Amino acid sequence: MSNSSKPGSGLIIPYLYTIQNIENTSLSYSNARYERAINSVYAMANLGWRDRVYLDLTARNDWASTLPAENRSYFYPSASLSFLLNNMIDMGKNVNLLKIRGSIAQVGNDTSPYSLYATYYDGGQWGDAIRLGKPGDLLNPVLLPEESSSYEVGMDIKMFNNRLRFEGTYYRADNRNQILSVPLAGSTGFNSIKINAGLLQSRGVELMLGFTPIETKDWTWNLDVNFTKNQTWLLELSEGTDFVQFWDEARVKNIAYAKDKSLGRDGLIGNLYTRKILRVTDKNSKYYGYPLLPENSEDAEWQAEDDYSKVGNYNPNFIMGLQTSITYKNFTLSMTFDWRSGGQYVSQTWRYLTEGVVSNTWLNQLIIPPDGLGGQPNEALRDWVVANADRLIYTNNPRPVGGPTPDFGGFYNDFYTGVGAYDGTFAPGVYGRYDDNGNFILVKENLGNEGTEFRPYAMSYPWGIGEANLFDADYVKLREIALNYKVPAKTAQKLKLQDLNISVYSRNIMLWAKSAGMGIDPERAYQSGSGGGFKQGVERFNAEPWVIPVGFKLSFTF
Amino acid sequence: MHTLKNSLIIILTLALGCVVSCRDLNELNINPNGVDPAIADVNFLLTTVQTNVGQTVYDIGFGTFSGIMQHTQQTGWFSGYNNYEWTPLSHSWNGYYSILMNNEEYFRKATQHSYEFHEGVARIMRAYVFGLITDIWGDAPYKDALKAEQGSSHFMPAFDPQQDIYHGILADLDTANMLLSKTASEYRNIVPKQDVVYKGNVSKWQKFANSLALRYYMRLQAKEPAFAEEGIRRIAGDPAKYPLIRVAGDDANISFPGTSSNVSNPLNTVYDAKPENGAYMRVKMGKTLVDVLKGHGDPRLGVWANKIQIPLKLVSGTGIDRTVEIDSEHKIREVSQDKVTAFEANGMKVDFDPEYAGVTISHPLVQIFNMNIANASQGTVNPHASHLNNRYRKTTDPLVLMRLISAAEVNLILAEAAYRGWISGNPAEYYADGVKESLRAWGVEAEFDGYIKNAPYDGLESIIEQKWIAHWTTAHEAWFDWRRTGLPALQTGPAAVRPVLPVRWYYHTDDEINKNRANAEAAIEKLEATPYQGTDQSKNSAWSKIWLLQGTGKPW
Repeated sequence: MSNSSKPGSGLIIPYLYTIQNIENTSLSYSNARYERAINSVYAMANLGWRDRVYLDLTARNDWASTLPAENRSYFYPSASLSFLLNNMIDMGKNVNLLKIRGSIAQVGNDTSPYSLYATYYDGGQWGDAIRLGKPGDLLNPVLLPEESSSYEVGMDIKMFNNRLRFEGTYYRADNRNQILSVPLAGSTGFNSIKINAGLLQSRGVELMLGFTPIETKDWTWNLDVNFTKNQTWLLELSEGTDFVQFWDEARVKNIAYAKDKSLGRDGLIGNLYTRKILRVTDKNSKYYGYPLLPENSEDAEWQAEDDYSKVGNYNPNFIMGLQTSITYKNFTLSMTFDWRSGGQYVSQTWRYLTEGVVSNTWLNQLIIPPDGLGGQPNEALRDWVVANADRLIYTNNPRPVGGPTPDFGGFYNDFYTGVGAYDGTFAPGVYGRYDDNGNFILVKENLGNEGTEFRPYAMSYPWGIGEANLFDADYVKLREIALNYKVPAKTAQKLKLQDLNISVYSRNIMLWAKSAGMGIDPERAYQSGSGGGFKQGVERFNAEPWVIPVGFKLSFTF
Repeated sequence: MHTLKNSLIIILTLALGCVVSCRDLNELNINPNGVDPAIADVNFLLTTVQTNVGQTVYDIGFGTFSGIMQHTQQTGWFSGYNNYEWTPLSHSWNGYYSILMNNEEYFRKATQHSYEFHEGVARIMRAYVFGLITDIWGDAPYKDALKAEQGSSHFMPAFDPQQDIYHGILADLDTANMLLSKTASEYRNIVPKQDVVYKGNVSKWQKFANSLALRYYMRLQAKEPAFAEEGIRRIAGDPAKYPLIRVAGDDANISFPGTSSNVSNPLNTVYDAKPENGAYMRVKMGKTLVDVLKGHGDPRLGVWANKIQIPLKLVSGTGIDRTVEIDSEHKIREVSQDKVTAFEANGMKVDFDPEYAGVTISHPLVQIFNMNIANASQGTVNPHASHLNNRYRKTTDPLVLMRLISAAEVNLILAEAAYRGWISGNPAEYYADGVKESLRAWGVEAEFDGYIKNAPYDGLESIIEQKWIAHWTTAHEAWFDWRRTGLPALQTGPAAVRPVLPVRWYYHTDDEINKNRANAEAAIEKLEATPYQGTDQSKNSAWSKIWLLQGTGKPW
């Protein structure tokens, strides 16, 4: 239930901030109710034979209210089998455990309530006329339940008195009939439709390797390393639809296309698409690859191509973790590290702060012309720009030349106010168009020569270019560090306690992140989305620093 | 014993469990938060369609197109409004098709219950919105649009040729005319308060249908002259069978209730959190329109514009630039010629008119028009230029209306038809009627006799010029006329991104092309490229010619 006042409605009596002090007609209020039921029947069996073979079985059937009557009931079993080979075959005293395991599991799922048939919504009154409307998000009266089948095989080994430990798992999960909303073309009159997506497949490995290299009376050193890698593909979607869109922020979209090699689509989930900078495409022109600037534009910045290209993916290539602990007599020092490699994310914080000219990072990235070449357009500047073409022209992430003051080489301009100042920048590129045969005809160069369009530094951020907001998401973190003192057993017994431990710990201590340069933590690259979900790979003002607690812990048993 | 007791407990528990959990799962999934479409009355959908159409028309008529047709200019955030700086992400037709989707639901319910009044109105609204879509964009989905509920084969609708859409609209309007031709008592389920255009008056709706048909026949004048002539002659020749809107009292207008922000005039300053550079303040009168109105002594100028707060006055001497108080309410700013010359070096001429001064068209320094250097920031006040009349600051006003079609337009269409010899009658008389009904619609018909002497009938140019003036706040219609005839002969300003005015809006990349690629690209292929395409990356350009303009030699 919620109520609020419409914007600008005003108070009846000044300075009294209560709901009853707002005009009736300026209040908007609403409430909503959701109910859902699932009836289930479930059975489970655990079998073991002589400590050598174990078999777990489950079976379950659900009836869900949120699905149509003919698809309401769904059944899903699972089975997992493991062999303790070290108990079956004599492997010598060095092998403490050798287990091979495998499992097949199915899980079914229903959906959120009221996803089948549309109702009219209240569009608000117009005077005393009531307005109802049909929602633009189409529902699906023949939804099927979601179904996920996962297959897993793995092995656990422990050797040399548990001083060498290994666990490895390979898994594959097939998600069929995921209930998703896919976007529809505007001319259908609807924004989206709920469908059962054909097939999403995840595959991955999880490996853990542990050593205890030193184990003496006084010293022990434990080292555990784990490695995970996961990829998810959209293999089939649904008839009449090409893609699913998860979010569209900061000129970057997170879209999943169904995998199709002939169209060059890898089908990966998490792909990020944006429109790259428009460049001259005439291979015979000496300006091939130069940014093509828009004529007579207010902004005189780089413009974007019409079509979207893949520029990254928010999922990592792999994640590794390291836990290590060193024990000397009764003291133990333990540390946990995380390393995430690969992936990109979009930073709206960077985008808004830079566009609003309140961050230092853009200033640090401006291209400052060499001494004497700033301030006014000149041929020597133009030649210098061309000589540095790789950094200034052909790069995927160009920066403006110039800056807010003459120290930055700021160029003279009198933009929109008729009052001039040396605070301008320019975007390297060319103006021109193509003739009927596709040859590029130059209108003028915008490389610092006479005729270059200068705009104030405050307008220099290319709001329309998505690649400017894309950063690598690699990081290494020291997540936890703790020092533990185990009180000697005799002392503890005097207090009638056992296992008395005192420790000091801290978390989130260090972060080395590859880029952004604004202190943004790539792990915070998510945003809550409307309708309860959340968007991965983009952050918007989610830049508060992590809390670093420092604590003491006392534990005992009695 | 034990076993029996245990079994009994188990059986009882299971039985209890079943009773508790047995609620009907079907009933549980009925949405209690919305209205069941099966029981909702058709009238509730009517208001939704009408108000959305009205708001769209006000938004384009007093928005971007007002800038293109040089009625107004913005002095802040003006690159799209003044200078046509658009991209394929600028203008989407999603809102229009969404209105049509609700209208199809309205039509479906109307035909399901055989409500002929509602069926007629639905056909008129369908013709109105599809007409706007094809007017603005060209080819567009029509027959296969809005059918996504019928299955996945309709998720990517084919684009229909513009000609088919126009002919389809006119057929719809002919059917509507027939449906609405009975006497009022023969219709069921009309609820006057739900009809915010005509309060359920059937004969006015019939007039609306035929007037809209006149508009679209004339739209085809250059491309299909024989077809247009036949249609107009048929309608104009039989007023009993095809009644028309001939007097301002029959104009199709919707007023704003004004009780809260989303049912008010969008330019109002009452609900604006920052009125000093809000929607009202950033729009000013445009020079082209103000100069023409001043030239004719047009009484509508005072209705539409405010007088200048502080006029400029040229005085002799040098280095003079001071504000002088004449009395407690009036000030004047005296400037000497050398100051004026220095300012005019930027290309804007200073306007010394004591009452009304319109802002220069498409100029990069439009914020400092008329030496307004003291208030140079975006979208703020300019004491030396004409702002919109104060009535546009209010949430509601008797003259601030969403205007779907007017008697002025109909009469001027008839004037043009008479001028072309398509219908009998004196074009000068229709012209005079058109001017009079426009003055009446704006509350100044008393000035008609004096005015018509200053703006007499003088062929097609005078007709289109009066139409252009009469389409204040419906400037998109003036744009469609300009596209067809090249009149009025508007020039671009120095900051316009191309040397000529645009003739269409881009198909939207995200909302249509990326989701319906094959069909959109086929439609783009049928556009005619022009030398003004500039850096647009395909024929999907605001300077490509749609079917309606191909081969007509207009507007440029």
